[in-house]
Amino acid sequence: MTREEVYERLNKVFREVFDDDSIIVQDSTTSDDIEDWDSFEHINLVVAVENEFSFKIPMGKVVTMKNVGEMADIILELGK
Amino acid sequence: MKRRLLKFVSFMAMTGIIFYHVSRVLGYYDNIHSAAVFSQFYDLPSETVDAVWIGASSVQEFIIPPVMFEETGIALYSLAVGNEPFMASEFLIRECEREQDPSVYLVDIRQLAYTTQDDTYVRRITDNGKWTVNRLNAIRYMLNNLEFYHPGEYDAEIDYIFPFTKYHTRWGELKSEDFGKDDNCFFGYFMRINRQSFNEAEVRSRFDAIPQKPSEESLMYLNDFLDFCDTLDKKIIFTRTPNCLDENKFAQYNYIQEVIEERGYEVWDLNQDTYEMGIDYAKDFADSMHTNVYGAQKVSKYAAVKLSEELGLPDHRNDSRYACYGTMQEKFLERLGEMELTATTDFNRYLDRLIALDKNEYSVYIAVKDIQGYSLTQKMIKKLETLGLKNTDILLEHSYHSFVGIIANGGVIYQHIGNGEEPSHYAGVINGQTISMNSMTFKGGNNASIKLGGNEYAKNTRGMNFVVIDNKDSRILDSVAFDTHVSEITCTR
Amino acid sequence: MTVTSYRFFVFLFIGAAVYYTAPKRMQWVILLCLSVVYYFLAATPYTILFLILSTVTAYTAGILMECRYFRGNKAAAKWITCITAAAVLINIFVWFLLKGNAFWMLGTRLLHESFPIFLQLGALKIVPALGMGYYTAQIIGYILDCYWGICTPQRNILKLFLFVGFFPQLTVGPISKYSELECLYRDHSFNYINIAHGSQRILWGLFKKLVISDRLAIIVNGIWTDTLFYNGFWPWIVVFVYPLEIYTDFSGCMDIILGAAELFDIRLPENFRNPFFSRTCQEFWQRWHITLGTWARDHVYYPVLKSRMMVRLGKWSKQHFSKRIAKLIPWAAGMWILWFVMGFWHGSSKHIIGVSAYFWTILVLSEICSPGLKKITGLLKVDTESFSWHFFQSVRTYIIYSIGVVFFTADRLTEAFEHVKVLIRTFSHPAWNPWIFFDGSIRSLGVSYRDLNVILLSLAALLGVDVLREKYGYARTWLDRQILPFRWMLYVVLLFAVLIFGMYGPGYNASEFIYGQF
Repeated sequence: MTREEVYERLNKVFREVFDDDSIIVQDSTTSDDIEDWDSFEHINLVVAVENEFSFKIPMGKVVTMKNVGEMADIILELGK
Repeated sequence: MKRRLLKFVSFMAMTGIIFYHVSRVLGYYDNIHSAAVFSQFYDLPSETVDAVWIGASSVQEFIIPPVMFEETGIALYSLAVGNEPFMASEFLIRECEREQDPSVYLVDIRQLAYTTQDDTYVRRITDNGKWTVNRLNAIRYMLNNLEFYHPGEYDAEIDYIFPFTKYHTRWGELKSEDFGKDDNCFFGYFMRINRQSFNEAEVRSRFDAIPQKPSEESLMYLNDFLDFCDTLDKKIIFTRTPNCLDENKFAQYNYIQEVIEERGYEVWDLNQDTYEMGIDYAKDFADSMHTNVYGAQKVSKYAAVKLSEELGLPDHRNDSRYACYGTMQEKFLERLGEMELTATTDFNRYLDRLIALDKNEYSVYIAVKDIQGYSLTQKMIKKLETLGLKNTDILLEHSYHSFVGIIANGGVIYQHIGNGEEPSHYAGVINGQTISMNSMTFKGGNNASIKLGGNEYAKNTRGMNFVVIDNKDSRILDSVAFDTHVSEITCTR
Repeated sequence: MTVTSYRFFVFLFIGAAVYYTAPKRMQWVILLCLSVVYYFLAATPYTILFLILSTVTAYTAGILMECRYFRGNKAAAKWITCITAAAVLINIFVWFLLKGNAFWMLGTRLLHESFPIFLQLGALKIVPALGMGYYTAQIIGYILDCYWGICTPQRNILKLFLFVGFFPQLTVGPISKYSELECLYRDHSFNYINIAHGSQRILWGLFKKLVISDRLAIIVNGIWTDTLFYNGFWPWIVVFVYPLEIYTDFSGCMDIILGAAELFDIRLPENFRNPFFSRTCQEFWQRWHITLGTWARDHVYYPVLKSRMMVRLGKWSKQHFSKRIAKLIPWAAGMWILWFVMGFWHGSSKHIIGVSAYFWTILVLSEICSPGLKKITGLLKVDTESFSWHFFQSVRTYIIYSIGVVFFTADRLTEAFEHVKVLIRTFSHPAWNPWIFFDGSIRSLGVSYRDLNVILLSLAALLGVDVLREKYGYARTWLDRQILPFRWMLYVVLLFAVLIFGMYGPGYNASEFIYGQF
């Protein structure tokens, strides 16, 4: 899995969760950049990402991830 | 770093100064002017006082230091407040030693036949004392005694050391006395003017009561204090001020006197000297425990002579450092005049007092309501004329007359006598104050109004309504009405 | 020794003096000793054993997790889970034993009756530890964070004990994360700014508590204890005044605590962020008692929503309902569990569960209605960024919160319903008495017009400071830019406002903090 593929699928997840087809995420995207992304939506997002990529993100990473770039790193690492 | 330290220190210093002044204002307050007793003492120029008299109201309402000064020139201070616990005596003497170093102490024993169960009386002393180690010791000593002899709920020691914790809630009730302006304390004297009559022979019969032991607590305080006196290199005289208390009290004081004399100290029982003082048991007492101002003047003069002759206390009447005593005497006489005025209920005597008033210091406003009165006499009219009012014999007529009169700035500045139902008015500005007055007879409106600055002060009852103002601070000294229509001439205040 | 007593301030300043003169390596030891001394002075001494128990369980769990035997051993993962669960459960159990005596859960009485040990324990009348609810939550957070690898377990048991028993937190929290308090173990140099800002913060907290909260308490207690006489609109005054009382009490205490920690160069997390400026009820709970909310979110809500059961529920909802409803169902379920736990934490009495149920219902309703409301505001062309709309939303949130708090003030559920009945009865004829607002009868409660003026002026000051906080993060940031005489004038005015108008001294009973009971 390449980083581009990960982002393609992440875009799909984000658009689905936040109900907004215009969202495009990058390494630097944080919760400040998307209006509905608060701490309660965060967990929905994580669960949706888990469903999409079919593996569990450890709880420790859920709380500490700072931006989408870190999320992508975790996905790539777990995918191995 | 140095700048920071400087900032910190100056901020703390500024806060400390503000706190000092705030805590002086938000301090102890009572209706016998105890705070002023202490503040006037601390404000005296140092080492001017030759004698200090310590005691409870048995001294506070008996001894008038300015009167004593006028009599023989002795400089005495009355460091006494009501219910002053005897156990505070040592602390007070230490304060005097530090502040004034007098040569004579007079200590009244009245309070030894009473118990101090209330920490209010302790606070009267400790809340007003200067912040010294002496005060800390006094707090500890007195609190320990209170808790030992009268177990109960008392405030924590820190609340005594910092009385601010108790009095900070007074912010809603501050009075002029809190800001240092107390016109009712005369170097410790508290004035009473009422009168209660006693049978002299009956009181004298109690003088020889068989000595009876007072409480253990009192004896302990006495002995502790006598031990302290033994270490003091000053003349100490114990006193018993005149009173009309019951036999039991005389018995206890007789016992205490014996104990003191056995220890080698002198006791002045002033009850024995009431004849020489000229005390009239029917007129000079306010109640069984206290003389009124007339009795107090007699006691003070007598004590002044006794101190001067027997102890040789110096005469300071020509010493400029003691000018404050002269000033205080003037204040005392002025206040006496005011209190006498406001206590008078007899119309004739009231007019006499009005005549005696300094017309530059005070203003008098007179307005009649309904009718000037059928009970006016020629004597009264003469007095009105002495006041400066003219043609007042018209008021003797048995018919309705309205009347408005103003005595200010040394004389009568306005008067008007109405005929028939004609009302009398005045509206103007006197000494910077807006005055508006009305006098209406029964059918003409039936009203008497004396308004100063828009506020109504007249009693507005039938007859002659008087309002007296102290010009110094525009204070209403008296508002009274006399129903000069009835023979009793009822007084309404 | 409460945090508003003279002794506490003497303790703080002496403690700080020792702290900054000691060698830097020893500073955490000083803090530990201060915490122990504080505990013995402020609480029943033997109850420190409960803190020790919590520390030991958490320490053991942490060390075992790190142990080489378990690390990297896939099968041992189950063991680690068991150890973690055991440690958490022990802590909950001890907390439950001491705080749960009024519990309504089915079978509690049966439990007490069938196992005599519970009766014996009850007879011993053991007192709960100081701040038990707070430190228990904190240590459970630590255990779970270690389990999830968010933080490395502490190897020094004394340092861990300091984390549990750090003295400013012992009264009313905040519930800190282990990562937030790692500064406890670092070196701290004396910095004048810390002392100045810490002292100012303590002063501000004292102002809120002693001047505002305790004054409002006179009104609230006066009315609530005599609803027979004070009927009609009186209880409604309590309904709208009590939230202010709790806010100034709790956030005032927080300010004292955070200021005290700042004196030692420790930054504790904030617990309040102008809650009454919230636009929605959801936002309110992110601004009120923030650390409890964060703790519950991170340690309850997140794990619950990530759990298999919840994921399955989500998938099932997607199949049977529209997209929006499908999203709402797991969210509502998670919220329900979150609120249940928060209610549970506040105390085991029924009425608190009532509070939880009420707020959960409000949150769910507002979430369901929110698209509808958006349409309405669009139709009416309401400018949702305008001040007046924000004001309306804040007032709405305040009213919703006030009504919820009616349950909070009662001691039992039945009493809460009694209060509700009294409130509704206002609108029936005999109780209808709107004139009480105009005829000065509030003075019968022992509150003079002067006191009311003090309350109003203080609330105005509070509003001003909170507006500055909203704008600048801290009112102090704005204040630091002002000229020196102005700043000094404000400090002096604040100090004397507390000294003169504060409700302290002989004649006052030092009032307990409302949140100190948890």
